[in-house]
Amino acid sequence: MDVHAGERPVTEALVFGTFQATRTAAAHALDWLDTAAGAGRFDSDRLAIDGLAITRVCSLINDDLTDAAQALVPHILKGRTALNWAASDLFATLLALSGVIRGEDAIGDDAANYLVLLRDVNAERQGRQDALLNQALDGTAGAFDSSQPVALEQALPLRFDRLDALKGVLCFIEQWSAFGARAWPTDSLHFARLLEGAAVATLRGYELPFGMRLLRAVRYLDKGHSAGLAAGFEFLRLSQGEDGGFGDYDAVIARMAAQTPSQDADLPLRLPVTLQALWTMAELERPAFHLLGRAFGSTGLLREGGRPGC
Amino acid sequence: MQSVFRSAGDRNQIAQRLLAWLTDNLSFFDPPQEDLLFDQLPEQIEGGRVRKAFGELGVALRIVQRVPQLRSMDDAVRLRSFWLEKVKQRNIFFDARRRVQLFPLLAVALAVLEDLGDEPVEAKRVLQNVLDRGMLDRIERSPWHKLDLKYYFDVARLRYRMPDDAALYAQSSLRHPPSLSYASTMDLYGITHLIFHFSDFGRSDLTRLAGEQLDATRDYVSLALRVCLFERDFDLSAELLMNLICLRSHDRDLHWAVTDELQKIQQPGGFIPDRMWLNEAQAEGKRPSREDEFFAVYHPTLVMLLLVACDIDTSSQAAVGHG
Repeated sequence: MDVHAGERPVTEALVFGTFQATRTAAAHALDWLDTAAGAGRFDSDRLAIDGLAITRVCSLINDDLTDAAQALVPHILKGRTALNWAASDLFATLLALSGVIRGEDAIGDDAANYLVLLRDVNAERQGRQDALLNQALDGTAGAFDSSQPVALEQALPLRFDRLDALKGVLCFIEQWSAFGARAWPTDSLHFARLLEGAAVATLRGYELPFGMRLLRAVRYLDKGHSAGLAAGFEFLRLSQGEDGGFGDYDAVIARMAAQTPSQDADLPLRLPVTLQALWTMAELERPAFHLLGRAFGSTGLLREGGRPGC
Repeated sequence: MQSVFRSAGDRNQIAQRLLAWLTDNLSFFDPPQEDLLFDQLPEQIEGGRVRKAFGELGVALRIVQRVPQLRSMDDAVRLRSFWLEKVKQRNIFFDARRRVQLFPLLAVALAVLEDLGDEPVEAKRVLQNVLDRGMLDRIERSPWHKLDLKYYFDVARLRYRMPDDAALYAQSSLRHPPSLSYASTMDLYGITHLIFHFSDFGRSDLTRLAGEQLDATRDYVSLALRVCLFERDFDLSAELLMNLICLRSHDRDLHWAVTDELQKIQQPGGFIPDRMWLNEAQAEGKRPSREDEFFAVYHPTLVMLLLVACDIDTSSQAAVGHG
């Protein structure tokens, strides 16, 4: 699309819910995966899990991609009927599980067994349970402390040189809101606006995963439109490469290739970033879109799977 | 327009400490003795950091002059006397027709003199001469830099050839601000200066230029401020907060968040540190020489003084129905 002087920025119309930019990004990302699968690049379990997670997210964002995403699964798996599901991070693994547990592939049994294992692990945890895991397993936000959230203002001021404190606040927001499933009970718009400043500053430093996490946390506090969320969304949208993956890591990839020539450095770096980018774009562009809810359903994966042992 | 500070008392205390530091460091603002500089060709003489500091002190004093409660403070009176005395003593307009690289600084100084009650007839004649010769026309300048000059030309009532405010605004980065994800520090200084000068430091309503875009501009500046606050860039934070005053922002929570931090970061000596000073102080735990420290921190300190002055001035203007 040519941009002409005076033309309204694409984001302005899209953040309000047309969802077109995110849908397009998902389609493009799927093309990237397809090319990578065709070249046999998902040779490690970790890469396969990340790839499966992205195909799942693409189909959740864009219904038109459902068939193409399903068709990609066996190409990513390349005959594998079991994966080391712990090889990737919990978020990617749960998304990948949610994608294969519904299908007819043999991997579904392995997925179901792993879910049972996670259920048992989760049940043994004393005290606070993980909101992500709870939603994945049984569709609920979990028995998180339902009292009023600690006043966020106690975390102020937000500072680039006190990231541990900031991460603690993010964790609190994510858990209490169950990653956006539960409405934030108090007016925290001022805090949300400050968090936006932190998000844009972080993206300026090219700390993409952390910046995206900050943007999503803003969304959990505020379902409205803001200049900060628009700026963050636009940055992400424009971060998608021509190949469909997100993130520019040429220098890092070149360094890794120099150190370990035979190792694929591109996919391990860009798959997690792409997964997060699609998730973040979807929830920024359409406030009512809740990825985890869509992925795991209202009853979670243990019921959805319907497999032996669930 | 309500004050951006929590209390007048806090604001007053900040101002007194700023003025005290400036007065304690007057010697560093002292410009060269211009009529004794014979070693360089006049056309090759550049501003340098001391002349720049002197000029910026003048800029701040001009806005302080608008605020009776500030200009009457003892240290403000001392600073103004010092500045006016040095203009004469150091003969800053000496050979101005040929020292063309100093022209921008001299134009600012002329404007300051006008508003501090002096009547620099001869200096004005000389600078008008330079303008009439067309020295400005040969250098390509951005709308920001043109406005930086035009604003002070207007104050000094000099005649010049430049586009009007509406044309400059249409060409400026205010019309199409750079994406904050990529904007550099200089880009943001461009934005702040454009707003200062288009709005005459808060005395003029920007709606006449920005029209329907004013809200978007305010949102942009607000976001930029939150980014700088997170990055602990207190110089830009103070400038952007001043911009919000000029843009008639009513986001009290944000205003207080910023002024609370500025108040906390004001050092015991009264100055406001810049990022480099903070990084060095934290990393090495030692203070630079007094001179190096002065040149590192005088600018954010003057900016803070401008913020206080702008805040009081616009609040007063609003109270009498001008804002």
